[in-house]
Amino acid sequence: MNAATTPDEVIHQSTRLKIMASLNALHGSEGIDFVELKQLLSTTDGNLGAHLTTLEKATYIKIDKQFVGKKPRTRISITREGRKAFEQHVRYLREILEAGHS
Amino acid sequence: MVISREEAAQALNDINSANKRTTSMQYYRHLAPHLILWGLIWLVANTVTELWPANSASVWNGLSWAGALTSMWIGYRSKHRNSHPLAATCAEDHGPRGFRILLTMFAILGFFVATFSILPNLDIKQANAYISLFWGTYYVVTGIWTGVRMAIVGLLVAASILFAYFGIPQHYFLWMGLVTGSLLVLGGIWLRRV
Repeated sequence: MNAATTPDEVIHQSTRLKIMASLNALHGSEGIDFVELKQLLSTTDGNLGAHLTTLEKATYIKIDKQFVGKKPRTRISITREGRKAFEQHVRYLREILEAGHS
Repeated sequence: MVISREEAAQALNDINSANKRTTSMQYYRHLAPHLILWGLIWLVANTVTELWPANSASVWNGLSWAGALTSMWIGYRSKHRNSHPLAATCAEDHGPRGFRILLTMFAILGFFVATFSILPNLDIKQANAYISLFWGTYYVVTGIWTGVRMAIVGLLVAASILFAYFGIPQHYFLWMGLVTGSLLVLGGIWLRRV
């Protein structure tokens, strides 16, 4: 396993970090509804939407907009690149703590 | 970009807490429809037992099998909607979740058959309280592993059963139907609202 030497600036922002942690907790290509994610993070539509756009541009997440009956449904899932980048960022954070202990 | 030790520790805490919340939410989403379903079954079957005891056995048998099949269907559907953390890991490795739910129910049925053959002859109220307490305990244990709300539902259900059995034995089944059954339904709704 390679050591992570630099932080991921896209992921490290507080809300985006929580978004990525929530999505990373899902298995495989599972997704979560926008509304559920908003509740989990206790944030607003606008704030969550802006951070999701940033993560989508970085290809860390995938946003699917569908219609269930007449209701629009936005489903968000983490991509393989996103999972890898998140795990690498977590490794970097752990290394900082471990370096402090040694 | 430089991250201090304090910032790194805070970030890891945030990650841990987001991870826990997501996992609990996914479990709750999976468990809620089962609670609502079995709450409704308890409501109807216990109320029938109180009001028309002659029909009790047929109603319990019919609703229990219907409930087991519906639970299987819910498990199958939940796997295909990818809404439960165990869905992916279990299903990939060991086959459909609906089938695993059926096996679980057979295991529990076997447990009851075995314990009833050991215990002295129980009357209908004792047998009902025993089976219901088993499920209350099951919900508490599930809650210990998945999230506090589920444990609270299990504790309330168990307390309600014991109150009905010792406090108002003459109306045990009515209480079990209207109050304990409703508690399960409300518990399921509460889990869904997380």
